[in-house]
Amino acid sequence: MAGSEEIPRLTFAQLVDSIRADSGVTETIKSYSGKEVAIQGFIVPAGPPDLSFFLLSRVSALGNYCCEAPVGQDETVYVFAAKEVNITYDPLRIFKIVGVFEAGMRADATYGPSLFRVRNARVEEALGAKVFKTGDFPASASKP
Amino acid sequence: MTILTVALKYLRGRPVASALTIVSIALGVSLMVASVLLARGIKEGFIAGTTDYNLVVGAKGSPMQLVLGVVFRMDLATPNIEYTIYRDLQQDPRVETAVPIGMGDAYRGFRYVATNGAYFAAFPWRRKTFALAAGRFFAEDQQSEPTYEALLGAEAARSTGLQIGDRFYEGEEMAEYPLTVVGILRSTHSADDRAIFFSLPSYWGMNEIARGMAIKPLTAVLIRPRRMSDLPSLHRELNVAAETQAVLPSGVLLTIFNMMAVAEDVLRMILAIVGVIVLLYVFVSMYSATIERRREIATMRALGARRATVLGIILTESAALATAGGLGGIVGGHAVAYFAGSLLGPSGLVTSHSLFNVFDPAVLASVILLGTLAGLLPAVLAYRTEVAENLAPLS
Repeated sequence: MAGSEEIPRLTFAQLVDSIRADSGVTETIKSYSGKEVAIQGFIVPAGPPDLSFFLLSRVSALGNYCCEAPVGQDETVYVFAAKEVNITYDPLRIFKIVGVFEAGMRADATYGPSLFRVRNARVEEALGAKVFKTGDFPASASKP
Repeated sequence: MTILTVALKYLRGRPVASALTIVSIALGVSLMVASVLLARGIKEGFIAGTTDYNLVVGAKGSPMQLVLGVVFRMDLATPNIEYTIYRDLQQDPRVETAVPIGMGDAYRGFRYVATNGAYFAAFPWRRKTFALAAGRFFAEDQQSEPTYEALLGAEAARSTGLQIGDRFYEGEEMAEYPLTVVGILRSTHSADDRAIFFSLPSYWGMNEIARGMAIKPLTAVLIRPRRMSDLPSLHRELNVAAETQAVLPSGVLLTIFNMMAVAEDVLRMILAIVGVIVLLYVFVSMYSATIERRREIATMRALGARRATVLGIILTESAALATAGGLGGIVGGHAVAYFAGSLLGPSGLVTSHSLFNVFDPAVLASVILLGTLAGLLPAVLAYRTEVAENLAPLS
């Protein structure tokens, strides 16, 4: 099995930049569809408390008094966990999720429409993580 | 005679000591199994009983109080918000469904929950379904003509004994506004089983202060957004507003689970100590038995029994004690968890784990292994028993 280091990391900056005017996404970001990727962000427990589904957000949605709020689909990823998520949840901590990426508008019967999804996701704390803002790109961002 | 036969014969030869050892192992294992099952049951009960709505909006204050009060009915209601907040949220294009909730009083401890028909409606995204066991839902009455019709949760109906058509109130100031039972819900295995539902106009009509208010009060609004991705912005806006706070119920539950994890760690340490004590008991029991039997063992050795046979007999004795105690402990642990779950079940907060699961063979194997290991030192002692030394005349 490939180590986590070999899995390409996508950033929210890349996701935001991939959105076209017609709410479609660029071919570059689509090329990651069906592949395992890593994304780092804050957990927004929008689904059940077993975290079988949650949103991954560029900014901490629950810190009310600083930073900006995530504005919509381009700054959140819908995450469907592979199995029981065993983490100590902290709304102000960055987590890394690794799973199969999907790009493009799709509606889920339970959770509604979304632009970016990660399925069969594994969740772990992202030690020393940095969440990149729009316009920033990690120097080591992997290409498809 | 096989090693097993000899080992069992030895155990039967000291029935009280063997029974006490088995009971002590069984009690230790029962305690561990029951604790694990109940801890898991409580966590799963919270998960199963949580709301399908993604956001709870209420007055500024403790997020935990808001969720425990509105969703689990385990805390006092938070202060009121204005009904106009519900109206605004209903018209917000990001909101698919908004459900108003009014709380405050109770009848014999069963909380009054004022709401409207949306609370019970079936949506494609909803896990929980409400069905009537008897009667009908309360009327969606007008603000000027409250009907004071009540719909009882399954446990509220069972415990109070109220039937369709019964009228009830609690506290003399409520005597003028008795509620009439018009329906009883089937069990939902959640805190809703312990609630008494009625309409918002009835809720406002029962309270003298609310009757005089131009803008009626509410306790909370449950929100389902059209898109989950709108949830963070809704959450932020409602929190930054001066009057309201918005809470993700799953976030609060995860915080509770984090706190429970600390208690579970403490429990785990206590259980580990219990395990060590039980193992020590097995060790002492086997050690005493071996010391007492040194002459017998020496005789066996003199009659041709090999050292390995003697070692095998003692280890088999330990394994047999551990097997019996382990089996008894697993059965006992499940029984305790089942009865505790049955007692706590009506609270809607404990999922009962009465069935045996795939972990039980692993638990039993671990108990047998550890029990056998506890007998290792006495077995080595028996293994090293010198024939000449122990067959010497006693006096």
